[in-house]
Parts: sequence; structure tokens; C-alpha cells
Amino acid sequence: MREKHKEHLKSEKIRSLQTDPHPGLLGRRELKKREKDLERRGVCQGDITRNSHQSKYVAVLLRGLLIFLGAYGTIWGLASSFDLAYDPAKVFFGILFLSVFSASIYYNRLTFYAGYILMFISFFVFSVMMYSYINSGFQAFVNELNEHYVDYFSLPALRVSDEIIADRSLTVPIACIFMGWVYCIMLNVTISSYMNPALTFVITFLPLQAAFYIDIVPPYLCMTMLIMCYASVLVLSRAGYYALPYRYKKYESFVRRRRRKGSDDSYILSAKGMLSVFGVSLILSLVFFVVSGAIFGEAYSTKYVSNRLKNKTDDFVEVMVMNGILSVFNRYEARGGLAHGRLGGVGSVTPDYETDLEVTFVPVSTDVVYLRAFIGNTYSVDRFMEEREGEYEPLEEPFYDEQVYLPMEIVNIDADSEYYYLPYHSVEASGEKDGTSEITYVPYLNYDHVIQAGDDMLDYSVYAFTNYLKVPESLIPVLDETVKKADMINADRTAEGMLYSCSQLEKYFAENYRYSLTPGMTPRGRDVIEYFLTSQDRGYCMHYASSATLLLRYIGIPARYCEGYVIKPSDLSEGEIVWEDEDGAKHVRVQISDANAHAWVEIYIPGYGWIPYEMTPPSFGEEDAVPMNGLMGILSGLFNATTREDASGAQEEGNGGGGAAVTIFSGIYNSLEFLIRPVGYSVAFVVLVLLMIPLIKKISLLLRIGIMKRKGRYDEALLSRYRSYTGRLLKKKIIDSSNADSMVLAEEISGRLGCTEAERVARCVRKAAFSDEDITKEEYRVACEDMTAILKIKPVRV
Amino acid sequence: MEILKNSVYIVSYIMMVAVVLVVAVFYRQPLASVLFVFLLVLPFISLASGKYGSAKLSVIASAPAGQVDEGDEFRIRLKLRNSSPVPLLRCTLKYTFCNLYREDEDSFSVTLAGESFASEEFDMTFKTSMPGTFTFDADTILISDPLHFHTFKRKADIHVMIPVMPRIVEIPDIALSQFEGEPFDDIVSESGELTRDIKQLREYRAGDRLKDIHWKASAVTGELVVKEYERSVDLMYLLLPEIMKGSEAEVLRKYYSLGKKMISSGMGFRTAVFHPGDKTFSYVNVSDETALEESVFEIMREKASETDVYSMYTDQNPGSYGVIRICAKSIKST
Repeated sequence: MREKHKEHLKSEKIRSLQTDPHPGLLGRRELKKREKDLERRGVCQGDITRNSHQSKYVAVLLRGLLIFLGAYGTIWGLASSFDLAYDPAKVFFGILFLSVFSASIYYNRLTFYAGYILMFISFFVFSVMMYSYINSGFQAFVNELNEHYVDYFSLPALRVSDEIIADRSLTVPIACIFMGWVYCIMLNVTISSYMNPALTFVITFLPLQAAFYIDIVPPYLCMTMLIMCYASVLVLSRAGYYALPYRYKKYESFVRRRRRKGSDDSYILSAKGMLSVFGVSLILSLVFFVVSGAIFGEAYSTKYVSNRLKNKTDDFVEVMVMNGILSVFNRYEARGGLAHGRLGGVGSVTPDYETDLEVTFVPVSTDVVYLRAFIGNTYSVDRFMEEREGEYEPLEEPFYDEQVYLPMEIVNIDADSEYYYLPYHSVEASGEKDGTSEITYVPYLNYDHVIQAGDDMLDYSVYAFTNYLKVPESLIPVLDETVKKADMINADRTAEGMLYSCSQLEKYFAENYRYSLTPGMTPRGRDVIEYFLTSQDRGYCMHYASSATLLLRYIGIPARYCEGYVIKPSDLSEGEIVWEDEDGAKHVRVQISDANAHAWVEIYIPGYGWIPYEMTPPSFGEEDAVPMNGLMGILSGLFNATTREDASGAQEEGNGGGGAAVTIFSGIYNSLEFLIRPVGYSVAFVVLVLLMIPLIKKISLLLRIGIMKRKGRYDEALLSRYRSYTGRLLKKKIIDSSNADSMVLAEEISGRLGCTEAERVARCVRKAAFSDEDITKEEYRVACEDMTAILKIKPVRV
Repeated sequence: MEILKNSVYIVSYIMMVAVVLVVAVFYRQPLASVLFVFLLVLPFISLASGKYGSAKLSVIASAPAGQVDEGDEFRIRLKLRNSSPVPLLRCTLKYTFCNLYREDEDSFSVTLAGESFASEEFDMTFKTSMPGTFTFDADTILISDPLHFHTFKRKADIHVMIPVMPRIVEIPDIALSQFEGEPFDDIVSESGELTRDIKQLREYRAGDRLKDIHWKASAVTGELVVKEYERSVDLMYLLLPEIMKGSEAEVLRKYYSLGKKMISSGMGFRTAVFHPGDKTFSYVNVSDETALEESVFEIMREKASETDVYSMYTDQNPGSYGVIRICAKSIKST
């Protein structure tokens, strides 16, 4: 009795607090509005209060738990994915404490301001005091991460960061707690402050990409924690229960939003609701991870399927792993075209595939036609300096045994207007460099067709051997080493001997280097050619041509670095025949885009002159690939399923690294094939559950009735049976409503089915429901039999 | 409006699923695909549970116990019961409230939490500044599924009427004229407990009070029989409260105060209540405080008239004299 009285007093106290008008706490605007309402309408609405007490502490604790799920799930996921051993108890309780502490900051205004100051001071002190431990723990993580990535990409070298304190059992937990603290601060804003699912997802899920990227799946329990966090935040954000106690003067109340004609009140906190959302989220995430993850997880983790987009990003990530994170930022993309001998500073090349030149000429062979523009001579600090006028005599005088002069017309649309783009052995060039130019040239077939030049050539030979053999001193060790590796030293100074050396180098490049438009940038302080030859092992034409120039010079073959455009046989097939002259020669017009921009090496063979030599290994169509610019490009890359094996094997097979050609539909199907099973099974599971619901209902009814019968409560058992009976009759449309009086229903049933049992059942049900006397077991049995018999009767058709 | 609100949530959810699909396609890993499937199935679960939960949700409202006087603050208690395990955290009750004399088109809403297996009570406080009938109507309750994809609409059927009694004002002593006109017997009395002396027993008629039923006689006859009492007070006065637009509060106050004064002086009276709808008058016998309050309720149930009440009365009762007119400015005998 006393307890009841106390409870009553307590509830009265709470009620008096809640229903107190709090005039001092209401805003002036709200007060004015109420006064106006009173005057205008004779009545105004005051506060809305909830009668049961909502605990602030529970709300704070639940928010703290949400923060903990996000923060610990991420830290645990990262640490476990990269095999970082740490003391889980320390980290678990450390992050739990920090999460709850962070959430409790929002308890009221005082705790909000004081709490944040306290938190940041303690965070600062912790960071300073534990700097060495945190730093070492972080380095330990970076080292493990590097190791996993190096394994994944099969890289030769491993970058190891220094761990000042080697004892990881000390450093890793401290670093984890530090990171957890950072997460608690961030998630406190996204959860306690805004209950924002998108931001919460981004903050916690993004770091885990480090693991996902190299096919590491964090522990399922950790992912369950995260999913539970996301689901809870999602539902709570939509329910709108995330108001901060410090924002509203009256906690545990409603927020009123005034409209011009009325108002909307929203309840701002429901601790019980939050708790139930927690429960539902937990069940959902567990069910899905048990059903989908555990059953399908293993099967799918063994089947690695990639796509072209990922293969593309792999290139960048690989560079980052090799050269550090700064290499990602320290790069820019070249848009194709001429580089004027500049080699450094280019991380990747992304052609725009727009037409630079429009060339009209008579193709005489299926060989590549080189249109030379830039000629580089002296190499210095990542750059070939251009030949200056007067330094050399261009060998343009025709010296073929059978001279065939052909015209070529070049329209400069978007190419560099500083140059004429001249085919080899041009005789004459006229017109505008930035417009249309007409060129007369003797088509170059190959060096066998070149006849021995006259005496005047001898002077130039001397010049060439004097000027085109220079290499920087600093690069000699690298060149020497490469020359030996490539086995290109040849004492034979004849044309065959020189070409043998060239072919050796070409072979060496093809076997040890690969073509890539995204080789990454050269690290600061290193020479482009030195880095390419020793570490990079990938590159595009610029790397090969420049390196080859210096390597050939080093072994005594005069060489020059050239830039310009090439007309490939594939371009000819896309060209159009514009006219046919009287000799039957077909003049073809081809569109040359920046993807045709090229760099190559020229070697000087005495008696033959300058001959272009192709050192760049096959690109396998990389520069011809559909550009992954824009959304559609990225999507096409994403949906072009491939494997890593495809990507690497493609170079050998020459199929372009993109797998077999697929239609857009088959491509999408291939890409989504991996989803078909889990989606199918999940849908089947849901359908099964839906089908099972009647069965579950039936079983639960039978169980309930069984328990009642065992306890001798035949009245309740009969009423349960009767509810099910009327429900089924309603479904069969024998009765119109199941809620009517039992006798009325009996009449209706008798009328429809022409039976007498219904009345007997109704009488028994009445007795069970209203009489003080209980029904007997026998009566129950008879009534049940009657109901079963009635349900079996088919309705009389009128 | 609700569809628009929901579509914002649907679009944002689709975007989220699309992002996860891209992640799943990008990684081709079980976890991402599980997450995708999870997000794909979640809306169906949300909709199904929302539908199930909304069927199990009920809301009732109760008026305050006791009399509500003008200027008082009173509460209407809403009881929200969710008998399902589904947390329906966004249940929006659409309602209107007004004093019948000041009806307007303002609409209100309150969003409540229907917690799983819980019954919660919420008090809505109202403050009055004038007498009249306070009405609170809530026709619909909108229940959103947990992910806000669909809003289930359910009937709430809450209609609460609370009479707000006028305050007592000072009435100057005036000479009250006695009524002369049609005999009162022609006027049907709806509440006339006049004395404790039984005049006669008669069959039950609609409107008779339950406490007047003669249970013994009813048991014997098998039909309901009620007691009709003798009158002890002569109802010689007829009060005509002229409830006109804009002056309702003042007239009610004067009527209530005068009535109290007359009853305390042992003077019974009749009140002519004007019904603006059909432009008729009904009469209420007032011989005690309870009857006075009932007469006030009767008056407040009707809206204010836009036409002159007294002229309507004289038109309908041309031979009547001695009506006590209660106007906003004065009380006058005719």
C-alpha cells in the first residue's frame, strides 16, 4: 500500500513537472502565437506531454551504443582484415567508454559545452603523451597494409615504415583506441547530432575499402555490427527521434512546427522506440548474415571476378603502393598530343579521341606512316631539348633508286600549330602550319630500299656521330646495367649490326616491361628514364622511345627522340577514299586523333640516314579502348566483367585485356551473374516464410489449444478454436462478418449450409464465453467435431 | 503530400541501393552482394511490418473529468496502443480543435511513437479564454512503415466535446418581469425534477432520465415505467439568451450568472434556446444548479445566430410578454 502511495506521488510529481506550463521556457514567438490564438479562437493549444517517464540516460546510452557499433566495427574490421594482433578487451572497453562518453556530452547544454572542451583537451593530451605509441601503431598498420597489397599485386619490393616502438602489443591497442576516439568524435556528430545514415555509412564503410579492394572480407560479426548500426540509424533518422537534449529547452517533449494555419507537433525522443529499433535491426542483420553470408560467403570469396574499371584502378593503386600515397596526388593527366620532349610530371595519359589532324594521302603499304614533328637531341633533367635550327642538315634529299613522289595534304584541326607534320623523306612542305599544308614526299618503305648515299652524306655522318651519342653522366650506371641485361652490345657497326642491337632492346622491353597509359608519376628527385628502367617496369611510348634513345647512344648508335603522329593500318580501314587520280592511285582521307600521338626513336645508320625504329611494346589496344571518361564510360568499364588473369593474360594473347567482346546485355548479365544466386535464394527464403505463415499460425494455435486442454481450460480452448473456425468461414464467404453474435452467425451458417450443428456450436460457445459454469471435455469434443463437420460442408448453391 | 514525402525517402533509398550495387559489382564480393540483397529485401519487410503493425494500432482519446471553466487549462488524454512487435515510430494523428463559436479551418497534427507492445498516454493541454463548446476531432491517423515508403491511413474516429462553462459576472439587481404567454404545459420539459412528490407513473419516453425509472413497477409490468414528479416551484420567468455572433461569451456569462442568482433566490425559470439551423426555440426548465448547467450546455451546443434572436421569438410567439432578454450589453425585461 505504501509502495503504491509512493508510486502515485512519484507519478504525480512527474506529471506536475511535465504539465507545468513553463512560461519562462517558451519562446516569445510561441507565447505571442498562443495569445493570438486565445484571442482569435477562444482556445489555444498548450504543451503536449507524455505521461510515462522517458529516461535521458537510456537515450544517451543507446546513442552511445550506436556510436560504439560504428566505431568498434570499423576499427575491428580494419585490424582483423590486416592481421593486426591486439588485445581485444582493451580496445573493446576503451572504445565503449569513449562512445558512451561522447554520447553523454549531449545530455544537456552544460555537458555539451563542458564535455566537448574536456574531450578535446583530453584528446590532445592523449595524442601528445602517446605520440610514439600511436605513431608506431599506425606504422604497424601501414606496414601490414603494404604487405597485403604487395602480396596481392605480386610486387617485388615492399616499403617498410619505421616503427619507433617495436612492441606491437603496446602500440597497436593504443593506436586502435586513438582511431576509435577519432571515430567516436565524428560519429557523435553524425549520430547524436544529425542521425544521418549516409554520413555514418561513408565514415565507417570507406576505410574498410582498403580490405575489400584486395578481396579481404572483414569478420562477419564486425559487419553485423555495422549493418545493425546502419539499419538503426536509417530507421531512427526517418522516425525523427534524434533531437538533442541541449537543443531543446524541454527535454522529453514535443517539437512544435508552426504553420500558417495550424501546427505540427512531433515527439522527439522515444528511448523504448530506439531500443526496439535496435532489437529489430539486430535480428535483421543477424538473419541476413547467417542466411546469406555464411551460406554463400565461402563460395563467392573463392570466385574472383573483376571488371575493367577495377583493373584500371588497380594500376593507380599499384603505383600508390609502390611509391607512397603522395604519388597519387603528385600527378596529372596528359590529354595526348605532343609533349615537346618533356618526360616528367605525367602520371597518366587520357586521350580525348578528338580529331587532331585530317590527312589525305595515297597509302602504298600497310606499314605505319610516321608524321614527325618534334626532334629531341640533348637530354637533360627529364627533357629532350629540341634540335635548334642550323645545328643539323635535315636529310630530306631523296636518295632512292626509284623516286616516287607522292602528295600528302594535312589539315591541322587541333594539333600543335608550331610544326609541320612531315612524313619521312619529305621533299617539300607548303601551306599553313595551323591550317592546310601540302607535302610532297617519297614514301619510306624500309631501310633496304634506301640506296647508298653519295659523298655528301659522309659529312653528315661525322656530324651525327659527334652530336647524337651524348648521354648524361649520371645515367651511365643505369644504362650500362640495362645494356648488359638486354644483351645489346654488338661490335658490328654495319646496318645489320646496329639493327640487331635495336631488336635486342626491343625484345628486352617487350619481355620485361608492359605498356600502360597510367604508369604513375616518377617520384620526386628521380630521373624519368632511370626510374622507368629500374623500378617502374611500365610506361607508354614516351618512356620507351626516350630510354631507347639513351641506351642506343650509350652503345654507340646515333639516336634521336621524336614526337609526332602515326597513321596505323587500322586508321586506313576507317578512312574514306576521296578521289582516285588518273594513275589509279586512291587518295584516302583519315582522321588522326590524339590517341595517334606517338613518340619513337630514330637511329642513324651511315649511308641510310635517320630511320624510325619502334621500341614501344604492343599496347593491346589500350589507347584504342573506349575511354572511361564520364558516367557512361565508367559504367561500361564497371559492367565489362573480366578477371585479373584476363587482365594479365591479355598482354600475351593480345586481346586487349578486356576479355572477349560482349554485347551490352551479356556484359551486364555477366557482371550481375554473381548476384543471381544470393538474390534468388533470398527471394525464395522470403517466399517460403510467407508461405509458412499460415502453417506457423496453425501450429501455434494447436500448441496454444493443447496447453489449454492440458490445464483443463476447455472454455478458452473452445473460444480459440471458434475464432479460427469463424475466420475460415469468413474466408469461404459463408458468413459476412466474424464479429457478430454466435447465435446470429449460427443462423447465417445454417441458412447457407443447411446444417444444424452450427446452432449447437453457438450454444456451446455462449456457455464457454458467458456462463459461470465451465464446459466439459465432452462438450468441447462435440463442439470441435461439429465445427470440423461444418467446415467440410460445401455451400449450397442457389 | 504524404506521397511526396514518401517519394523523397524512396528516391534517397534507391540511390543508396544503387551505390551499394555499384560497390557490389565493383568488388564482386559476397559481403557487398549480401548488403545489396539486404537492402533489396528491407523495403518489403518494412512495408509488410508497417501494414501488420498499423492494423494492430489503436488510438483513443478521453476528456477531462470534472467541469471546465472559462480561462481554465484542461487536458485531453490520447492513448496510443501498439499491440504488435513492430516499432511504429511515426504515427501522425491529424486533428482539429475549436470553440464552436469560433470555428476555423486550421488543422493540426501530432506525431507519436507507437512503441512495440506498448500503450502510451499523451496529454494535450488546451487553454480557454471564452465559454462555449470545445470540440476535438481526429478522423485519421497516418502510420508510416519504418522506412517511410508508404503511409498507412487508418480511421481514428475521435470526437470529443467539452463544455467550457462561463465565469460568473456581477449582475445588478433588476426587476424581473413574469412571463405571460402560452401555457407552459404545452412545452415539453426535458429535465424537470421539480419536487420529490410523485405526480404519476407513466411509460418510458425517449429522453427520460434513468434515475426516474421505477424499477419495481417496470419489473412487474415488463415494460419501463418512469416516475413523474409534481412541480414545487412556479416557473414564472422565461429567459432568452440572445447568442449573437461576437457577443456569445458575454451573453453566456450574464445568463449563467443571472441563473445562479435566481436559483439561489429560489426562483425557477425556463430558458428559451434558439436553434439557428432550423430557426426554432426549445425550452429548458431550470430549477436547480444542475439544470442550469444543462441549460448552458444546451445553449452552447448551438452556434451563434446571425439574425436578431428576439425578433425571431416575437415572430414565433406573438402573444408573449415578460420575456427576460439577455443581451451582451444588458438584461432587460419586456
